[in-house]
Amino acid sequence: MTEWITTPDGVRIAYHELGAGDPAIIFIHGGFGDRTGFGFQEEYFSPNHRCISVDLRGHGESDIPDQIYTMEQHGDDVAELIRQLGLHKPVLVGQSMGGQVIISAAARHPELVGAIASLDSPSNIPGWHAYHHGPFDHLMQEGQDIRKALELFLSAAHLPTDDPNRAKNTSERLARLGDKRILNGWKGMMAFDAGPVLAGVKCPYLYVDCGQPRLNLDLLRELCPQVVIGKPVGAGHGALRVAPDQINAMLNRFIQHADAIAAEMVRTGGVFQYTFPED
Amino acid sequence: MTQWITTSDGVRIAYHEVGAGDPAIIFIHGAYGKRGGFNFQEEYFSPNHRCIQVDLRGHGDSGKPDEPYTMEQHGDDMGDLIRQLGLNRPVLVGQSAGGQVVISTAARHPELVGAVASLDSPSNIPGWHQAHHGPYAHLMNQRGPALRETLYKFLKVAYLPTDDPSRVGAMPDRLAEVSEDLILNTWRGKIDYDPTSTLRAVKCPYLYIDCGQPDLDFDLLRELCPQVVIGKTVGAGHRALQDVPDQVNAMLNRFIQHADAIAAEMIRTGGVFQYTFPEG
Repeated sequence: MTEWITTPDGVRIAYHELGAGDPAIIFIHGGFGDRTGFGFQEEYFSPNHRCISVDLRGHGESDIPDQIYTMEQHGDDVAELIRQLGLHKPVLVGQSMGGQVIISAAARHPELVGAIASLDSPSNIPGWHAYHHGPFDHLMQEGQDIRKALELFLSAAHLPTDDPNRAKNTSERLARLGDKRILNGWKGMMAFDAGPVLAGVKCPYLYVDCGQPRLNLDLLRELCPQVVIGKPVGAGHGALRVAPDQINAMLNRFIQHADAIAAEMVRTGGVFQYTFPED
Repeated sequence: MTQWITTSDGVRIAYHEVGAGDPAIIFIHGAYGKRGGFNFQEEYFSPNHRCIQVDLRGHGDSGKPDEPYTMEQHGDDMGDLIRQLGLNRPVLVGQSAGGQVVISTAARHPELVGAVASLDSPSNIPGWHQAHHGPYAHLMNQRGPALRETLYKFLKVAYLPTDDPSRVGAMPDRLAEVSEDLILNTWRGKIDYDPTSTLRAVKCPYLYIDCGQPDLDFDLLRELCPQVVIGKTVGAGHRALQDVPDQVNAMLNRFIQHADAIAAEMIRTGGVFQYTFPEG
C-alpha cells in the first residue's frame, strides 16, 4: 500500500513498507527507476526487519517538481523519511544511483543512519562518473535524442547471463518518463562529486561490485577505510533481481555483523594479516 | 557411507556421496583437512546434483603412503576417481589447497572435467605461495610441538572476528589429530609449487572465490586463465564454506548453472562491463 510523507519544501515522497524488526532497512532505487525493484529483498528480509521501499522525488509515485534532482536533496529526503517514521538508525540499501543517495544521507545526517550498502554504484568512487558519464553529457541536452543516448549508456551493464526481459523492461520504463524528468535526473547525477561526501561517511559501508570497469577500490578504501567489498558471480547491473540469493546473503551477513566487519576493515584494509617469523 | 577406489599406484582413496543429477560435483578439502567440511554444500546441492566428497591421499580415511603429496599426484587421483565412478564432466570444487588440486586435475585431464571452482586458494596465483609460505620454510624442518606451533601461526591469520568462534578455538585440537607425516609430506609436496603452466592448460570454466587473502594478483590470474570469473564473499574468512554457506552456495550455483556463458563473457570482456562511448 502506497503511503506518503511530505518534505519541508512541500514535496510528497511515496513509499511502502512490509515486515517488522530492527534495524529497519530502506531500499532506494537507481536513476530513472522506482521502488518496485526490491521484491526479492522484501521477501527475504521482511520476516526479521521492517522493510521500506521509497520513490525518490521525481520518480515513481512521488511528486515531480521541475528542479534538478541533486543527491544532496535526495539524501535530505531520505533523512526526512527516517525522522517522520521514527526509525532507529536504519540500514540504507541503494542500487546504482541509489548508492549516491545513501552516502549523501549518511554524510549529511550521520545521527540518523546505522549502516549503508550500495549495489553497483560506481559513481560513488571519485573520478568514475566524469570518465563514464561525461562522454554522454553533450547528448543529454534538450533537443538531442536523449533516450538513444541513455539506452546506449545503460546497455553496457547487461550480461548474457541476465534475464533477457530485463533490457526490454529498461526501454519500456524509460518510455514512460518525460524528457524533462530524465534531464532533471541526469543533471543531478552529473553535479555529484563523491570525494567530499565519502570523507563524511563514518558508519559501516558495504560496496557490492557487479562488474563496472575502472573501479578504483583503493581510493574508495582510502576515503572510507571501513568499507567492505563483495562481488557476486555471473550477474550484471540487475543483480538484485538476477542473483537475489547472492545479494541477499551478502546484505544479511553485513547487516548482522556491520560494526565488527567495519572494525575489521579499518584494522586490516580488508585482507588477512600474515605475521612472518624472524629468520 | 565411506567407499573407496584404488588408484593406479595402489593407494586407496576414500569418498562418500549423496544425491543425484548432472553435473556431479566433487568437493575437495584443503591441506591437513579431510572430507566432511562440505556438509552445507551437500545439503544445498544434493537435491539436484550427485555430490561426492573425497579424502585426498594422506588425509582422512585414504591411504597414507610416505611420500611428498604433490598437486600433480592429487590431480591424477581425482582423474582416477572420475573415471572409476563413470562421471560425465563433473564440476570440481576445492577449498584452499583443494584449489590447487582442481586446477591440476583440469590441466592434466581436460577431457574429464566440466568446470572448476576454488575457494580462497591464493597459491593458485603464481608467486603467492613463495611469498607467503616461503618465510615459514625453515621452521617446517622442526619436529613435535614446534612444527605444529608454526603451522598454527600460519593458518590462524585467515580467521576473522566475524567467524564462528568455536571453529577458531577448535583449530589447535584439529591440528593435534593430524600426524607429523601428513604435515611434512604435504609441506614437501608443495615446497616449489608454481601454478603458471598448470593455469595455462586450464581451459574449462573457472570460478575463483576471494575471501580476503592479501596480494592477490588477479590480472596475472586472468592473463593465464582468461575465462576466470571472480567472486568475493562479505564478512567471512578462510572458513567461508561453513561461516557463510548461503553466499558461497549461491555463487557456486550461479556458476554451475551458467558456466559456459560466464566463461565466454569473461574472455570477451575481461570481467567488466563494456561501455560504448558516443562519437564527438
